[in-house]
Amino acid sequence: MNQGTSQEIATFRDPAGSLRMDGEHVVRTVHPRYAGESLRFLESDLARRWTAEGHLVATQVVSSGQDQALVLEHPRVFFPSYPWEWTPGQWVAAAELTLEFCRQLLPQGWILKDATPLNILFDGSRPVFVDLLSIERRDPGNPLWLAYGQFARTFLLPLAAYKYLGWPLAATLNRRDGYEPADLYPYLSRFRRWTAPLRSLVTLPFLLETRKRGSAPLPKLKQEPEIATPVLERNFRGFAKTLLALAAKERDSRWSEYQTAADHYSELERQHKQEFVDRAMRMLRPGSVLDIGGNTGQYSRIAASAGARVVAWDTDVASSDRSWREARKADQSILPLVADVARPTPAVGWRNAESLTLLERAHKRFDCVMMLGILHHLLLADQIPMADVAMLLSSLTRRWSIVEWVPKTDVRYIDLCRGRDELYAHLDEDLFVAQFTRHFTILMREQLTNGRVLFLFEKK
Amino acid sequence: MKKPCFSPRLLQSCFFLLGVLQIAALLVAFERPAQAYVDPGSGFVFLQVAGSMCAGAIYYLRHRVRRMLSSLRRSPVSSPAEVIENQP
Repeated sequence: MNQGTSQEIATFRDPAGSLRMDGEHVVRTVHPRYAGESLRFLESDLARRWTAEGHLVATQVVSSGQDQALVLEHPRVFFPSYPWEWTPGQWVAAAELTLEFCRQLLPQGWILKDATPLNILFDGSRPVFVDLLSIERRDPGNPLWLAYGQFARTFLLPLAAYKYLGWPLAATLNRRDGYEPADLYPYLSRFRRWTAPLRSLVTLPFLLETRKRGSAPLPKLKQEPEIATPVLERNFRGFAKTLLALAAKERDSRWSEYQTAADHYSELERQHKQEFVDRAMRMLRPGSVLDIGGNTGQYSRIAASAGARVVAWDTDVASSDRSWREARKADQSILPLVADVARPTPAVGWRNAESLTLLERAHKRFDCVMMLGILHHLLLADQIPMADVAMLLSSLTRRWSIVEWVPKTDVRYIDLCRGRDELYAHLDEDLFVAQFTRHFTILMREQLTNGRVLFLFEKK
Repeated sequence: MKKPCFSPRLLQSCFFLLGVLQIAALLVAFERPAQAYVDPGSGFVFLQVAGSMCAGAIYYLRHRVRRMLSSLRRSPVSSPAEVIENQP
């Protein structure tokens, strides 16, 4: 299974089939019993339209036959991400896509049998529905969406917990099946429990669940198809309304205004730095760029404008969310993720093999890796040795790297040093150059008037 | 002014039903049973069933009323065009 950086991973939870990611190939095997249904859906106009519009993952039939497993192939999404790395805006966009897809399936006689954020991946800033096996034929007389419980647990309750209780969305790393109403209920005030949308999302389900005991089957409801379909569509309007109520407003953080409020950068110096990155991007034309410490995406956008597919990591949720919203608005190929290079996302799930670690996914995936204004954080706040940072950078980039060196005289360096000057007396530009030139050669070096130095490296 | 979809009386009945549902839920709130083995997700299904039943009743009534009104508007004897239209 998933060991080291093998980039191999397989799913096993759905009895209808499995998916195997092997390098650049994503192969889906569908059990013979479900093969016909999957093929019928793939031949539908809705599947064709959604694939053409980029909302549904492209699919190619590799092999099919009577009573045989159906083998499908999908293109690999450039950088797979997990919900625990998404910003609040990305969560809402993924939930909206799930609801809208299911709503459009209804009149065609289909429905989603499950609804979890794990069915969505982001291709740049756009969410894409990737789990074909979630689609099944609908009972036309049933006005219920049975997957709503899962949708509520895995999408709505984490969003509600984030909005009303401040629980980080990253905490869903430990909750494969999301939250239960009982998880949130004790933390909500008596008044808030009865306000919308928490009343129907937390309080009533919690009270109804605690009342029900034993193993009585879930209630079923049968209606005439001409009644059931509009009722189900009405239910979906209700779900969408609940989701809309949970969409948190953009929040500010100490980092989200960093680019405009940073007092250690004059407008001229900021412009100089932008020009350096822009010049490097136009000269190198990298196909893919990783922006470590991407903040609100100022430099990610420069890289994307030069034609690169960009993935940006930042620990700050508000900054990453702002970066994603900007990229989404401009339809730029930028995927901001809430990720910490010093504490990378681990592999989780059964046998630690249901997801790939952040570094496995990033290993030699990028033509260029940028580390602008982040190195001093890694050295002083995270206490990572310089040699380790250089080695990590070398393992992420295939060719180039842009690194900003922050000298000891810099106000931010002094802030982070917190009086430990003696301990970090050895950290200077000479050591930086010595360690980085073990893996790279220097292509460009430019010093800004505030003392910071920009380096463009090429891998040896 | 936009014409309302439902009669005020029908809307009042719906609000009454929803009120009953909320009172029932409030009554449930006074009980404090053990929660270790509750059925996850069942609360969402019950709510969806209740909402769908109410909505189903409204749609059904609306459907019946429309059919009644359209039959009243028609002449007692079906025109030849209607006979052709109703053929499978």
